[in-house]
Amino acid sequence: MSNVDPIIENSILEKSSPEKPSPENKSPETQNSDSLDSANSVKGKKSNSFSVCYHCGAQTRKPLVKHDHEFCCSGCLGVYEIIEKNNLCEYYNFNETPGVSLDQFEEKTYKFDFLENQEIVNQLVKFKTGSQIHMDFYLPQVHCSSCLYLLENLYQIQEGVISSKLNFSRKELAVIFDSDKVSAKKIAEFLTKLGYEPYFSLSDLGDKKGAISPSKSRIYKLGVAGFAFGNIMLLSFPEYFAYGTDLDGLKPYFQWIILGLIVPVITYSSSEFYKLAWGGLKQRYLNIDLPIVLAMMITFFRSLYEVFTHTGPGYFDSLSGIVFFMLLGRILQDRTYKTITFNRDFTSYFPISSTLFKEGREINVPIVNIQVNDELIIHDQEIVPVDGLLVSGKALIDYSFVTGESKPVELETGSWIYAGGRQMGTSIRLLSQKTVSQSYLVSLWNKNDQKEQKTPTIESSYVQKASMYFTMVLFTIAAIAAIYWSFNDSTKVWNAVTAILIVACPCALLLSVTFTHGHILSLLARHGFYLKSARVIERMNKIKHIVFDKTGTLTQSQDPLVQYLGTPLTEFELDAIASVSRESTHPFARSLSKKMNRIPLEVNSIENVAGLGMLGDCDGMKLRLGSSAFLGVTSGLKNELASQIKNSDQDSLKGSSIWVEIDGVVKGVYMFSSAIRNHLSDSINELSGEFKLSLLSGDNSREESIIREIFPANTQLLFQQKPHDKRTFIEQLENSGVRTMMVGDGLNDAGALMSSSIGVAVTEDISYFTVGSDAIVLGSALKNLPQFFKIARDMRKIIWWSFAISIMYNIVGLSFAVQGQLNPIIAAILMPSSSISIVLFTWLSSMASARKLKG
Amino acid sequence: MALNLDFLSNLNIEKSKVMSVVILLMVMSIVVAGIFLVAYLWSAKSGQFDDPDANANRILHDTELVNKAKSTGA
Repeated sequence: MSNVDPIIENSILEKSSPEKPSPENKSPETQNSDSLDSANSVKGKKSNSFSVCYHCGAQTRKPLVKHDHEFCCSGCLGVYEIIEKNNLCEYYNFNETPGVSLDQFEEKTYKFDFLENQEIVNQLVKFKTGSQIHMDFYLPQVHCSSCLYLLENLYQIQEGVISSKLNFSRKELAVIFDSDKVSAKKIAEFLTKLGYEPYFSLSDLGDKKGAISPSKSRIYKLGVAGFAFGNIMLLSFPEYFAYGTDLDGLKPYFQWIILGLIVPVITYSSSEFYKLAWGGLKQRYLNIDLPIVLAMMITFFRSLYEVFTHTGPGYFDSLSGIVFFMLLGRILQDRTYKTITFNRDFTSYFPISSTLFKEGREINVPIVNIQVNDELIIHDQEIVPVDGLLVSGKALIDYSFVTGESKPVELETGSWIYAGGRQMGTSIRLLSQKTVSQSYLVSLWNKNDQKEQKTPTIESSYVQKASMYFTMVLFTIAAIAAIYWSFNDSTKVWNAVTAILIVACPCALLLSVTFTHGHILSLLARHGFYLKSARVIERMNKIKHIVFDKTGTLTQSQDPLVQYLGTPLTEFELDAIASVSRESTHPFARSLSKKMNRIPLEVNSIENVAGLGMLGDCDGMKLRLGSSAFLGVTSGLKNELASQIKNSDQDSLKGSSIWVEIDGVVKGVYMFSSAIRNHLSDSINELSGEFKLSLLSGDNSREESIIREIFPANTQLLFQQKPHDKRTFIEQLENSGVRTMMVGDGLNDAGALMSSSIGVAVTEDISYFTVGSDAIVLGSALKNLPQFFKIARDMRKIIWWSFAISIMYNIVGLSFAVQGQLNPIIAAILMPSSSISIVLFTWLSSMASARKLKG
Repeated sequence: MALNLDFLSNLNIEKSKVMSVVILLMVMSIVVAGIFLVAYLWSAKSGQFDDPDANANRILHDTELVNKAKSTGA
């Protein structure tokens, strides 16, 4: 399954689910080997041999066998049976073990109940004709070509489905189904059964019949421009080469056709340049598009003049070529962002609906309809949609997205629960105190949003400056030429001035900028660093201070360091502990079983005691795992264990731990501490040479000693920082003129990310919630941060060099133009060759620059 | 690269006829190119450039027609 198509390496292949945002699965491979299923229905004795599930690739001790294939669980077998029955076994030929593991899969019958609510369904439906419904399902589990095959053959398996088409990069399945035969809920449940659980978020609601996206209309424009460019070039040949021959008589016909071809280029293809130039004018700001539009207009009208006065063929070929290359550059620059959405807001994180308890019945309502004093039921793993008071049930809330703290919070009845937390364990009841839009999380978001709007979009950059100088020099040359010719040969004034403005169009500058930006952005994206726009790279060159968040940024909260302390355990005991802990809903227990990475045993009489621990029975061995209070660990034993470890590690005992009791005897304790990401200390060392560094952590100072080790001695380390404190810290820096880069994750950093010059959101999965960030970096790529800065600096050099190249071409062109002798053929040769050499230069040099990242 | 059409007179073909043929060819070439442009715009509109990754994989699924026949036959 690791044989992932290299073509799609750029897309999000990692299993990504916003509903389960923890990157439990770095790749489909680890997913399979780590998440093993023990809920086997077949009895068997323990042995060291194991089989690999034909469907999902999980290892299992007691396979279910069918048709010579072995399966880890009844879920996988069920999917195989469906696939086999429908002659879709090709599914297994594209990739080995392509299936999605159905481990930890519990059939939650209530899960898609909201799809029975017609009001919600109507908002999700894209298009409707009679009983035919078009609807999109977001399937985070999609990862390989086999998924594509199976999902697009849905019509063969599920009655009522007319067709389905998967958008691989967006992981969206567009389904057309007959609402008389099958319901949206049924399809959602069926997809879940196949292992592709659809995910609906609040952002799916609302008007989806959007207009043509800007990138798509650019593709149309490019086609039109390319068509015109090619044909005009071809039709200009007789003009250039057959001058004074018998073909002269055809000239008017050719010119009329050319004129017909240039009209769509000038009116349609270049419309976005007009818009940008006009936008700049309105804000009284000279952007690069303005001189370009000016040059285009001069070229167009002078060419028109020449054609109508029969004085020449005009420069229509150069004009269409310029538009074509500029559009090409912009498309290239945009392509990088295809799979990523920046500034995804809370709506993509929040569920679509919530269960409301009203008049003795459970009903599903869209969360926007929740009123104050409604009674809500929050099931296991569901997100609390509004701020409210806990009425009943054991609340164990994971606020990691709001606060960055990975340890779940236990709450008493009557306590306040903030929206955005995820309930773990049993269902709870909540009395809503606010509506969604007034909840703390959302108001925090909205506050940020207002700020975003206030920040001016205008920004001076060296590109703008260069184009300004360029334009000024150009006008000076044109003025000098005009003065010169008005004294010597006044008939040539008009000719020379327009020729200068035509040949020295700053489009070469624009080309070098767009192409370099495009290359660099896609190269950085290939290495896990995704920038919102090319301006971010420019801004990177001004950064003086880098501020880090701790949890989830420097440390990997999802993959903690685990240390065992106590009586040594036998192999079988280890197996048993892993098997029991993997049945838990507690994140630490889950990561413990993942860390231990053992083939699970069969566990009987599992019992979860919410917030405390769990019981289980493995082959007659009774296990209890949980907090020290749950197991009744004496303080004497605690002290004894504490004495076994080094003083420096004493702190970690205060952190999270899972105690183990086997057959009534406390064996020891697993201690968790967050691990610093690999190779990060080297990178921080490298960065500290150039930048001032700081650390802001929402956590307590429990792990300060580890953090101290990787930062230079003079670094400012601040703990117990609230989101507001972080933001103030950044704002103070920015206000004092220090350009700051904030590296953080989660909503608790949102304010700080937005206030900083560059907010870098660290994430394990790019399809996940990122707020207010200018850049997204994969956790594994964070160590390359110093190299990213180097590339940003290189990019500047590349752009300057390509400016130099384009200016060389300009000098050649200008030397003809000032003499009033700009032959269209010279323009027609100079223009494409300068464009092509710039494209080549930027491409080769950005590749060379990115080689830094290989090491 | 001056073009010499004098040889045409030896073949008893009038120059004006050659001209009209050139114009005809030109119009035809534009029409053909126009057809390709329309095909391109149509393919862009129907979403063929939206998701290159999926299309790259989809082309491998050659069994689709076989299965269709099976399922309708069954």
